[in-house]
Amino acid sequence: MTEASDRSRARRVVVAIDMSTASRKALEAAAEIAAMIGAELHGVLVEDINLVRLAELPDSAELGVLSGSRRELDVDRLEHSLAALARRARQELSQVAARASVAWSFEVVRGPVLAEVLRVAEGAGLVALGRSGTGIGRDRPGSTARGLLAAGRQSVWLQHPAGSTGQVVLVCGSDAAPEATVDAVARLKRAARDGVAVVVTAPTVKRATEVEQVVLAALATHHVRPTMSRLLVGATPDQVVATVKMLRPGVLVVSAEDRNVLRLLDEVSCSLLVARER
Amino acid sequence: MTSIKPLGPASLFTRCDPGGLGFETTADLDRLDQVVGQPRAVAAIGFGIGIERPGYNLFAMGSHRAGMQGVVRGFLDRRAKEEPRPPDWCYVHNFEQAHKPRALKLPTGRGVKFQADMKQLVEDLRGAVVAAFESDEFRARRQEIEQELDRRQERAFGALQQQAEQANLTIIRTPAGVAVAPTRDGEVIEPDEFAKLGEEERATVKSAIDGIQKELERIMLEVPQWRREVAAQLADLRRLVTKAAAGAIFEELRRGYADVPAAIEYLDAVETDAIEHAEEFRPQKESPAALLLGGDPQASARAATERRYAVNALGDADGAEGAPVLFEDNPSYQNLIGRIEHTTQMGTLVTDFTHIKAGALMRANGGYLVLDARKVLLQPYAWEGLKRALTAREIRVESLGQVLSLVSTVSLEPEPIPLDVKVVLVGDRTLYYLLHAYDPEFPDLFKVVADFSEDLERSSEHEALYARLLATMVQRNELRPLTAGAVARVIEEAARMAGDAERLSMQARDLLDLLRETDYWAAERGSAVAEASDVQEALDARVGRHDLLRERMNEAVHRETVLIATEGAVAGQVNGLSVIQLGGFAFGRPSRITARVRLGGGRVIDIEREVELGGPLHSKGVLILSGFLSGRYAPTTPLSLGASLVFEQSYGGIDGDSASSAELYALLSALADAPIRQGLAVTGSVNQRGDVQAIGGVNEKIEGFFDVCVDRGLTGEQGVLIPASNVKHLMLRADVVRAAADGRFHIYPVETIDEGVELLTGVAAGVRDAEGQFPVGSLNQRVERRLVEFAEQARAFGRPHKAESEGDDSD
Repeated sequence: MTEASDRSRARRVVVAIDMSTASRKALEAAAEIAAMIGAELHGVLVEDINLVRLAELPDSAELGVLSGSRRELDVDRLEHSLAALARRARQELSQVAARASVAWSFEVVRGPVLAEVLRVAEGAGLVALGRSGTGIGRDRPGSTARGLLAAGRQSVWLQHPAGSTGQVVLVCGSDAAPEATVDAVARLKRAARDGVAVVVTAPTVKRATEVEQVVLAALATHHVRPTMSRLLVGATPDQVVATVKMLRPGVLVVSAEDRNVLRLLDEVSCSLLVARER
Repeated sequence: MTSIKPLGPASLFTRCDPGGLGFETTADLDRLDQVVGQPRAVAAIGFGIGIERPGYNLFAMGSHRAGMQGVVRGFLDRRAKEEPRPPDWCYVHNFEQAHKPRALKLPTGRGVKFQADMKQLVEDLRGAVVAAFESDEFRARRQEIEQELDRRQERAFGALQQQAEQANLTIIRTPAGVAVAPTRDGEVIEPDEFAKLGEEERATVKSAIDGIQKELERIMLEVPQWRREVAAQLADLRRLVTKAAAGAIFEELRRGYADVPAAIEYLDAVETDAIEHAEEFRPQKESPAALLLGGDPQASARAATERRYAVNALGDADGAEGAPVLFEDNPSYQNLIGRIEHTTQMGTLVTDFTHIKAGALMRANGGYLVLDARKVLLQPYAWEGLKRALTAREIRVESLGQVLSLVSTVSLEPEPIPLDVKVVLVGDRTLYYLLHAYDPEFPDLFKVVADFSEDLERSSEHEALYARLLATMVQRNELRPLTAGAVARVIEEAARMAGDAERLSMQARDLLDLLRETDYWAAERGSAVAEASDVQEALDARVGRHDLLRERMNEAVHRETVLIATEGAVAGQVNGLSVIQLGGFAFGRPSRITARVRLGGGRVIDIEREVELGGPLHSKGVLILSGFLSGRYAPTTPLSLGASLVFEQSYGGIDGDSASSAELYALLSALADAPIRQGLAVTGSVNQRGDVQAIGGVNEKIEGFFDVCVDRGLTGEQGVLIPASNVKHLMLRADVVRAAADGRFHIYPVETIDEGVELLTGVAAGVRDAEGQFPVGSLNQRVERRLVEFAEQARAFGRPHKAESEGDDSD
């Protein structure tokens, strides 16, 4: 791949759409970021291969989420449902993109969800999706989100289904360079609207102060003035999580390199922007 | 033959002596604080205002130009100042039945304060509730509750997922639900591989799937219940937090209204409601509907909360002292009773208690309301609404649609407010008597009548009072002071306006108009005071503005288009006089009245009546003539007369009996064949005994004939016969008085037909002697002889009159 095409792909924002509440909000957020950085918005609907296989099995049945009633699940019905889902996803994407005035594209793929998302998102700057897993009754991020964090090479926006109302909380650990997270904050319109709080974690006061200085200076270059800054020296992951929770973040921005990233992902119930250096 | 002397100038115009008034200009006079010449009305108003019983409302009746409203309002203002200001009424939300807003009675002057206090309360609550909900304690507690749900779900689903995994199964989402699938190496098993499984193994898998599915169903049915429990716990938490946060705010407000149980009760209800609706005090999330509608959803949510706890104070916040005195100039139903306004939302009309607007009854509650009776009656349903409120003694604000059951949509039904108001209707007498006669509720609701007199007895004492009244009007209206001469001239004009030399008009509006116009002419002269000449100028100018029609009519006489003789003598023809009143200007005009006689059935035909140009009073006058003739000349013989009477060249309606004496003169003249002097004109009604009776408009009638005579040239033989009983009404124009003083025009006061006919014909009327005979050659003898001749002719013709009578009957 050439350098130019690399740049071009980096200016893509990929959003995985499954038409759940969280994924629709992820689409809005992705469109906002795409507009901010002048990127193309690429929507992908992954038809879970496991689901197709299930439908092909004899006597497959599904339980309605709302009705709780059991009904037969066959291939025809599933294909029909998936096609309808794709139409809705495409329509929604076009509308959101039009509102945000960004170029867009859309594709439907079939296969293992994580693998397909990783494939489509290859080289993109950001991939956005709903943070909930496919598991039932769980608010915690699912396997796709976790897989993206583990195997992906791009920043990830994990959208909370309840929205992203509240201040932006930027968590900077001394073990991760702050440039990506600061850059991510600068790309969020809501940072200017709802305010930004900075949480610095470091083993020593000196290191924490150094990181804080760097972060504040970097934010200042983007004309972002934090409403507060908190230094956590030698804090345990539990303490970091508790502090962040108390700040009631609407969006949590954290580096993929941060050692607390998975704990924060699991424990803090909000939208998450995991920034990755490129 | 009796000799009637013409009246001297002193009888024609009763002067007011400026020297006798005792001042130079009205600036020397004190303002008059009393009502002049209305003792009856004043006493009635005092009684009506004083008596505090149901139904004792007032009806002030009299001429609309008498300034009744000013008098009534003056009284009411004085009285109201001494009375306490009534309590304030407010409408507030009814938390139990939103469509029935509650009425709240608050001590005087505290309605508006309560309104402001409640507005502040909402602001304070908003701050307190938001702070409480933002508190770490609340958040932590809420998170605990919400996490408990998560934990419950995770426990249930996690265990199930684990159980599924142990059985090589997985639970996955489908587009419309969830399903359980068999796995191999963590992925859903391929159909081909599944088919390769042995039957027993497939049955095992199927059984395992069924087990997981059943358990899944059970959990999914429990989830909504868990959510409800969490919602209830969160609601309890919000209540608890809000109660703690708002308690102090409510307590403080309650202390301020500890003396008003109704306010305390309402505040209790507000507190309960605010706790239940605490979420509404917090910034609202954007809803799809709000996005659809545009606008600011936060602002509309704030406005909705403010409206819910708002106070609609109905009173005015003007801080006026005493009871209210209100005059409603446009007494429509809504302006009287009040109205419920609406606003549009998405094309739908919506309303609430804040849109209740007080009507005049509400604003005057505890005081006085003055209304123009005619205007109330002209406004659709206003009269009915007013009566209903006065009868029920409460104000029930309803739209006309509700009252008339024209709309069936749910609307507001505000709690009625007790009504304690004294209503004063101002109107003319006709209205009062009509209402009294035809509206059975009226006498029960308006028990006190204040009857305003249109005039005042003219005496030196009253002239002095009248001068002070004029001085007061001059001062109030910032006009130039009047000299004593000007006041005297106004007093003379007031007598003329009253149509009586012995009375003074109390038509305040007309007087004020005259004073303003006098002031104008004084200003034109550049004078600091208004003189008698300015008054005269004002009067002359006013006539000049109105007398085009009179001029045209006199011109028609001058050009002999209308035939009026002012010289010579003609039998059966006399100059009658009538008054034309148009647009507030009255003038007299002569009309030729002629009579023709012949043999007939004793009936005098009134041609005006036959063609339906004569009114009932005129017809009555003519019928009286038959009574007079038969009673005087044919008491024992049939009256075999056929006579016709007509107002020549009259093309409009005629009414009144003031020409009946003239008609009788014409008839007698025709019967006796005695010519009537055409230089004389006649006015006056007559009774069956031949007495001449008073009529109205005597001044205008005399002046009308005078103008015609002046146009032709006064001969010294011209004049007018008026009823002697009208002499006291004479307030004639200066030129008429001068002509009479110079002997060029004469006003004759007559008491009987005999006196009049002698003046008109120069023939003695004659009185029956002891044998019942009129003197030979006398006018009466000639009339009687003529009637006897008709009777004899009738007999000779063999009852010809019978056939005519029958013919008449068939008319």
